[in-house]
Amino acid sequence: MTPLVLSWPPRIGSILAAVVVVSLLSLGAVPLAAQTGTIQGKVTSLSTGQPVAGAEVTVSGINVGTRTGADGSFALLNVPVGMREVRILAIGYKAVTLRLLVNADAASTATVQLAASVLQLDAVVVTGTAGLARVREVGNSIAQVNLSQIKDPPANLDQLLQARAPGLSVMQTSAMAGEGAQIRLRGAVSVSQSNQPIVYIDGIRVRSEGYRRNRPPQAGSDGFRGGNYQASPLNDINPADIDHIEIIKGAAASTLYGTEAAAGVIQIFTKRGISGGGAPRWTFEMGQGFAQVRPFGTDSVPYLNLRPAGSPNGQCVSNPVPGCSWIRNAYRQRYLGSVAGGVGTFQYFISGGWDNNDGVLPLDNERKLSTRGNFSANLFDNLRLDWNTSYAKSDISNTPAGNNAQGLVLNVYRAERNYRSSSDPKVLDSLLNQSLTTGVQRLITGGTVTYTPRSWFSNRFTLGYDLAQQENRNLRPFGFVSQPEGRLSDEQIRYSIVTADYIGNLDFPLVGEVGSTFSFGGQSITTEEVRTTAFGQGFPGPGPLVVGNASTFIADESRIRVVNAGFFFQNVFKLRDRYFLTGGVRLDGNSAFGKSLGLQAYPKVSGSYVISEEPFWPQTLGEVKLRGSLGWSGRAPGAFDAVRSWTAISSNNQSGFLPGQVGNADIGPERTREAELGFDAALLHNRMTLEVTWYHRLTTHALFPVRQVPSDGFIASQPKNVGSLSNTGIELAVNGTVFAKPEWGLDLGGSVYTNHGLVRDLGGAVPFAAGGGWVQPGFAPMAARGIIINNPDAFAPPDTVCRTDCTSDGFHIFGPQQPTLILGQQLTLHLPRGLTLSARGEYQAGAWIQDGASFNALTRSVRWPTCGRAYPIIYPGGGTTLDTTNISQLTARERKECIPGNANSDTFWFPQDFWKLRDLTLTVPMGWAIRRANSATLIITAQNYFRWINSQLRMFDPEMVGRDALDSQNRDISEHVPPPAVITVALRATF
Amino acid sequence: MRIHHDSAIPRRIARWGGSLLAVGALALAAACDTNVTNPGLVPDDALNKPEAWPAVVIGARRALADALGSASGTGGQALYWGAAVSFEINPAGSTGSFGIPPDVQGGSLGDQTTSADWASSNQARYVAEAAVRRFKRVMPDTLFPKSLLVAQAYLYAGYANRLLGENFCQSVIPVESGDTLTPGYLGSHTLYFLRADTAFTNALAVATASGKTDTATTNLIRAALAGRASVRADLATYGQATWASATTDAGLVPDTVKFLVPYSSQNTDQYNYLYWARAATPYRAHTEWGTFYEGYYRTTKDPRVKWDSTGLKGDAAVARFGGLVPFWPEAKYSATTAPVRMSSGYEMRLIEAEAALVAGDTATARAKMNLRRTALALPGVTFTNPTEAWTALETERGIELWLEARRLGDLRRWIVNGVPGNPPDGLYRANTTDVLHTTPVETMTTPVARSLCFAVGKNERETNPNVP
Repeated sequence: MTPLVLSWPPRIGSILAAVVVVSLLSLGAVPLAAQTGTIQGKVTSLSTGQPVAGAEVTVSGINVGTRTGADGSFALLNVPVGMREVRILAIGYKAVTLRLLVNADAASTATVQLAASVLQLDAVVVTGTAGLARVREVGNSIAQVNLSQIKDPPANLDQLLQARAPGLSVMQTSAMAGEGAQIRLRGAVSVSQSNQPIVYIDGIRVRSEGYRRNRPPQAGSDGFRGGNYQASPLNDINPADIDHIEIIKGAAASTLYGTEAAAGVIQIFTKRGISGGGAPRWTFEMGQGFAQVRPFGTDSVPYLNLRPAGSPNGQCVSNPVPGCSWIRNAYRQRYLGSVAGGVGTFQYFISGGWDNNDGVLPLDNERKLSTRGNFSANLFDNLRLDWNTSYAKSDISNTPAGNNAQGLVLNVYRAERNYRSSSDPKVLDSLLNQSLTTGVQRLITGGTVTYTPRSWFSNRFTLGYDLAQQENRNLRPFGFVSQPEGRLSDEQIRYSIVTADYIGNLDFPLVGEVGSTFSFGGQSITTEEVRTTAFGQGFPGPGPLVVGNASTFIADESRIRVVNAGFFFQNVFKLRDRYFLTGGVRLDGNSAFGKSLGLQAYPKVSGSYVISEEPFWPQTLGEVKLRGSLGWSGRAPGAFDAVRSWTAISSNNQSGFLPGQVGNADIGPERTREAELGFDAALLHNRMTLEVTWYHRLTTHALFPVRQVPSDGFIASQPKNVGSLSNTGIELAVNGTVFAKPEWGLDLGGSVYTNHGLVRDLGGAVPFAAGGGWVQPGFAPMAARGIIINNPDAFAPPDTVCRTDCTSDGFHIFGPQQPTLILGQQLTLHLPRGLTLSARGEYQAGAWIQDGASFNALTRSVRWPTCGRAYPIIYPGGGTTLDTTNISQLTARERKECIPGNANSDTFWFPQDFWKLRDLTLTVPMGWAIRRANSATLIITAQNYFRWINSQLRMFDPEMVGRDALDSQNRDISEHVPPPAVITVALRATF
Repeated sequence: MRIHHDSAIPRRIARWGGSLLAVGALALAAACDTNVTNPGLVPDDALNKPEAWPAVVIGARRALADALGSASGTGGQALYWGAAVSFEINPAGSTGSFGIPPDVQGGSLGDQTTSADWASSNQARYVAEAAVRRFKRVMPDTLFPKSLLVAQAYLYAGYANRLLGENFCQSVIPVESGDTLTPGYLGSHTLYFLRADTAFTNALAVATASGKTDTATTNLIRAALAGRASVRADLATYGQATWASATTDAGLVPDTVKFLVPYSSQNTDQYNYLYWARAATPYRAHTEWGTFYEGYYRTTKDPRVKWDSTGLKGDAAVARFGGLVPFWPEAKYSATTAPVRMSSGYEMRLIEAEAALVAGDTATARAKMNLRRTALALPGVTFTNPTEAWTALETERGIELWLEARRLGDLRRWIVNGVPGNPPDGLYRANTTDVLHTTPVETMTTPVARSLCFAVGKNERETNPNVP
């Protein structure tokens, strides 16, 4: 047999291929049985008698399955004859297993009634479990987001995840089109490595780090100048394609993912086809809406010179006159279509989507095409192939914003003291004579072969390829106002990830009632990023231009490839189907490890106990599962961190070398140990569910950038495994039905999430700045460090002496930059005629944010609204000459901020507590209005429309981030517009 | 739930055991297969190859340029901030990007602010000296004593040490033992001058031993002579060398000779930082408005201190004027590619003039000072007593070496050693329209409340166990 593959690391590829070959050859696939029959039936709710749609119906051991339709019916074709075990599972119900005799060319009928079970102990999860596992077996918390239960149509994955699970923080970043969100699971796990969780789609590892920011065009400006925006690769995924999402939040659950998984894992499962030979299911959705910026300035200047749509002087873009508006109400539209069906043993799900979203700034627009084809086939009775492919194409244009001296937003904010020395809209309009575009094409394809030679032995082999091609282009054409010679940068980046993953599971009994599942496997993840940048300046004249037209141009290139490979063993011991003990270990190698390091071992142990199934448990107390887990995971160092190296540089067109990194042959991964304890309960006759988790996470061997002695010559910091930090907190989620009447009902839910991070040890290093924050034992990682004004409102000189929470050099530690408390609230009101009104709110507290935009303005003598009271006192008569005669009339904060020479960024730290109504959604059944539709729903949603922000943050929005939004460790407001509120009206119909 | 199975399972387990073991063994092998070589960075031993040697020396030149001023991640601002503290420029732009921090505007060069300057200046010294050590290790014994690459490395080592000595308050020199360095201890800044003297001497010896007489070699020798003359002048002021030893070298350097460190428009990392910080694209971070050189140039049009009147305003944090001051940028560096002069024949004439003043020979001093002025058709210097002569010399050095990272070192050696004279200060105006600066409101006198040198960086104190 020809080996599958293999162009990536040959040894790994050959080895993993050999695994499959060995399995296939030794066990032998069983051809499709010559004689088959059909199983058909209907699934209804035991309590209501209503059909249950979307229930999974599977035949054990032979990879045959389907989902029930809207009327609860199902049909399984080509089922081999004989006694078969059929399993039916649906969200909100207990699983049912039937034994049916299948006769040749005949139909066996099953009518199934499902009893309610909100805990879903028999639901199957796969994330972090080494193959399929029932919820009852899992000793850690797994958050699940089921799209079928979500009322509002999310515009993208960021929005879909927002406020969905305790422990999950999704922070928006700005109003720019295409901008991604920052995702954190249980806070930060590292001060030097990424804290973005890793992401899998249908078992394939995909990119989770943000795309490269589209930087302003400047020679050699890589990583230096800020501005513009950063897109998230997660938003290439069409949320309408998603069936459900599993989230594991840290090392206690992610051990089997090895070195990269310390910050948690998000696994996305896309929709599949349906079998049964019935008519395919078509779904269409059309959405229209608009985005609108809410006030973010002061009462007197609510939009900081930008002015919102509706200004009597019109939009500046069409008529740049004083008083015009730079902000618009941005039109959005979305069209989605999909079909799911099956023929024989073949199933398919095909979808397409088109989004066209304007941004609130004049040049902002995002157009996105997404397509998907998911195909499944039972090639043999015991061999199933799933192959999923998605392609997305995004074209984004942006208004230059952020900390960009040639950007519109910065210069509008700073009025006559901007870089154009003018607030005249005609002058500022000239800044829009530049093109800032980003194109992303994304292909994710891969398949899983599931081979089950025996009911107690299964193999799963997954191959995946994630390819993203990004083009960042920024043109300041010939004649551009501040660079009349013209400039152009074009950056092409190719990101790819190859996944090869094998898992084997072996079920066997031990003694008595003790069972066991032994799992083993290997995984290889190869990540590659290839970037070429071209920059040119000095064009001969106007017209369509490429870099080669410039009088001078330069290029840059980087290539980074990282291989992480490992294997694992795990065993789950089971007793009476209610006691479960899991132990396992993952061993990993990584190309970034130091030469002397060798393999790294990450052990895990977990247990669960379904105590409510004990004979002594009063049924009135409901269902309860106790769980606990302890596991290790890691984060690899950077690709070059191990090597003593020199950097190739240029000096006046001659090549040279400068010191790079001093190198560290012993460098290894950060090791994170996480323990969690908790329970899941369904109480009050299943009217209320409660999920409680306590967690403690300790990262040792933390990679800190250890500074070198400058006089020794190598001045770049060298990452070393020297520190430790921890996170501790609780997660609590409660959901309940307050009342449920035939036409009326009310469901309420809430969640609490706390996180207290702490730097424990620096390995002897002195406290240092990292990622825009401060790292010092006894405080949160990347803490907000600055100068405290003890008497901000007193009419006295500023008292800036640090008296508590001080650094050795007298600065004050305000607190963490990630929230320490998140409260979620949700409500669903069921109304007559099938209408529902739902709402989700989110409160975040405990974090601090730096208002860099205000500081940048005030230190440049920009007349800033927060100093409106002070200016008549220090600039009498509206003059420009500072007069401090009456300084006693200024408060301490005014003295520190409003006198330009006193302004210091260290005093611009503010609490970022806020509450937002994430969505308010009304759904209206519309099936009666659309002929032939099985169902149709009109959905009206308002997102982030209502909010409360701590008044100490006098302007802007806490969900704003500066330069590297997604990957940033800190939160810093730069010259952006806050994320807008959005109103959407969508119609979804299924045929 | 109990798993049902037949009694043959143990046999089957055994049957599949071989497969499982194979899988495990193969997976184990897979985990070891992680060797990757990423292009882009250069391993240390690659620099030992002869074809890499020229680039090793170019690295030393680039490191020196970075230390003077660069936007690169390892760049410092010795020239820029030294110019601000010594009134060669006044602030006109932001305190952040490309701007002058508030403390530097106020005349302070404390250890918090100077860490980047300290690091980059030390890197410049290290790269050049490490090049010499590498060449000594890997070059044939017959080649090392006469290789022009070695001579160039010594030359850059000399200038890097001079930069450190003239600008930093103290020295920290690691202890060499073979190829390993042990962190050094705090010492006098004059140790850098001595180290520079040795490096220039070695450069001269190697270049001379090369036996070459081409222009490049001649220029190299003159650059080494000029460098050694300048550090010997420094040392002479501190009583650690004779003025004669300085003037001997100076006399071998013709008037028009100059040694430059290049910058390039290739990318921002190689831009002349002082120019880029003041360029109206859009930083406008500094101005000549309010400096001595503003008035001097307005009066004399001496091209050595040329500045431009733009009609623009800088968005400065100069609080007294509401943040807006006239943007009159220096015009010595008018492009990103403008090189910075490290030494010149005319500097040598001023060394000879200074030596003459030390000897009480004001006539020779006047003659030496006026050589350059005559060449530029400027009126000659005048003075009636030794103090005025010293003031003239100190002023003339300010003009000749304007914006070359030399002024702070000059001010320090004169003030610390009680050298007579009153070098010119900068003045802030009463208001932004007062172009005649008749009513100064903030006189920034030297040395009151202003630094005369960059403090050893806080990064050194925090990382070097030998530096408290």
